[in-house]
Amino acid sequence: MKYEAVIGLEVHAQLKTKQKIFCSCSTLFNKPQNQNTCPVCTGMPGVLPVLNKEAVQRGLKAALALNCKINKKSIFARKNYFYPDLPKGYQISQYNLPLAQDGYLEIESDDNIKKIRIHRLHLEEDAGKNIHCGEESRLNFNRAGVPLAEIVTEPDFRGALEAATYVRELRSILQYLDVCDGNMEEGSLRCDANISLRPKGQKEFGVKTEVKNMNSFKFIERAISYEIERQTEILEEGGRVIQETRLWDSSKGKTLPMRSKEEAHDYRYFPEPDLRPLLVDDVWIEKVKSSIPELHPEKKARFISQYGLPAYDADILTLSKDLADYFESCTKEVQDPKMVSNWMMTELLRELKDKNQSIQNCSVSWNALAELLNLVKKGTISGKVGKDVFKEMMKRGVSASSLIEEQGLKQVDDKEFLVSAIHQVLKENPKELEKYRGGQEKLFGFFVGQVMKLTKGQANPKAVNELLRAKLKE
Amino acid sequence: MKIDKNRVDYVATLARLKLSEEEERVYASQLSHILGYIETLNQVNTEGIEPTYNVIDHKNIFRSEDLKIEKEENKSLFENAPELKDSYIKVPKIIDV
Repeated sequence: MKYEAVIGLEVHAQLKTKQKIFCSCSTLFNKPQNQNTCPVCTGMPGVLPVLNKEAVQRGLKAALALNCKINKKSIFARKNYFYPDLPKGYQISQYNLPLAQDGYLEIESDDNIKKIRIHRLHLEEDAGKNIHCGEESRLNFNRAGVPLAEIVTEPDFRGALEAATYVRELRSILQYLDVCDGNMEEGSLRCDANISLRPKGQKEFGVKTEVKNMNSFKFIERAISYEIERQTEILEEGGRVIQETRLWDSSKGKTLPMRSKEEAHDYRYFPEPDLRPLLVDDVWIEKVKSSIPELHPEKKARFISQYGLPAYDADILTLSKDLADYFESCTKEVQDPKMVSNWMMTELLRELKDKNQSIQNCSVSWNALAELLNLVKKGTISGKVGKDVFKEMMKRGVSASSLIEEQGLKQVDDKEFLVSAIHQVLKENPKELEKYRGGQEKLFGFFVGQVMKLTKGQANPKAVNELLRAKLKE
Repeated sequence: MKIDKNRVDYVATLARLKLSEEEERVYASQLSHILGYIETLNQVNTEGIEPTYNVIDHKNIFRSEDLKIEKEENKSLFENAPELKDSYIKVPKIIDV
């Protein structure tokens, strides 16, 4: 029998606020354990939560960019369960009446545009973090109370790649909006997948499993693929899928069942009596709407039409707003979009990857790159030397002109100097010269290469070409 | 609505409460009464009436991030923790890995 996968995703995005959602504790990552805590977020008796307006603002921005319907009145609710990382014994979340619902996000799938429906977006607080060491567990409440937007899709995905594409696109949007930093390793963007199979053509859903702990795009794709395969095998052997939560183990490349909790989930949601309903009016909605910038798909289309970039390059350069801004600023200075794009796509992105840097903390700013490219354009240095200079700039964070000065890299088109270099090369390679004269004209490139090598790449290749051609005609 | 002993037992487990047989019997009867009263309330026709989630005026109260709040030293927060280790709260192992 042919099976079809049905997948829905839940993404938890940490909202980029300075303070927690119900108290004024800092949300900074990597602070000493339990430093960002106060009586409110550690659930001391008698404290009251007060909603952080900035968290709502960012949640609204995300919801509107995801084409959601905003509920003018939304309700906070208590989700009750006991776990050591939850100091109050309940998580403040939203249940009935979330902040927003019924949105969609368009993604590219098999060269088509596919609409992924967003079921809901609600606000909630994060839990603390447990560290397990040997026979004990240790608790750090710095993350407890950090604002999250939970974004839930309808079961609209049919494959692992679609799901990964959606998360990539969603992350890009949240970053463009400056709503979430999107760092999946640090956990500011977390994704869970509900996966089930059904015979192709059947309407009813099969039994689903929930897969957690996929902390990169690659792992999302791999974990879902693995889970689809696993369920297919079970069904084809006539077995039954068990409804359970499974964890992706990236070292094993498998999903493994999570040790099930003693009892079934029974969260006994009820309206949070310490918070009033959240009211959002049209004025507020319009104000937030007008603050939404050009997002990835529109920017990509504009990069293709305005700068004449290939679709692939435009896609990569616009995936993050910072990268796109870098490109546009640099292009304004250099007046050569293709050149800037080529350098960014190859040199810059490779160096960033090697050095594990992001464009925000890149040691070569856009004006520094623009200066370098203009020097290449003017012929002060060759493109090849430029690439070495760029590597050095990435390493030391110094400007192109000072490096060129310091290392004497200026491109040489001094005729006498070049002619003498050409002479030397021809003298040192009599065999090749003979072959060339005998008709092997492709050796021309060899001579140019030798001259460049001799002059440590400083010779102006254009001048070398002309002079060499003239010399060989003699 | 009749709450039986099993129900009390289940709710007690969710709330991490350990009840004696006698307590279970007493609570079963008390909870049945409470829910019985709710059933009475449920007979009122509330059609077309908006649910009340909060009885205080409908007005948003927000915390502003611009407001700098002097934080008290938070050490005292952890004074009642069973055990601390390097500022972590130490608890028995949560899961077997």
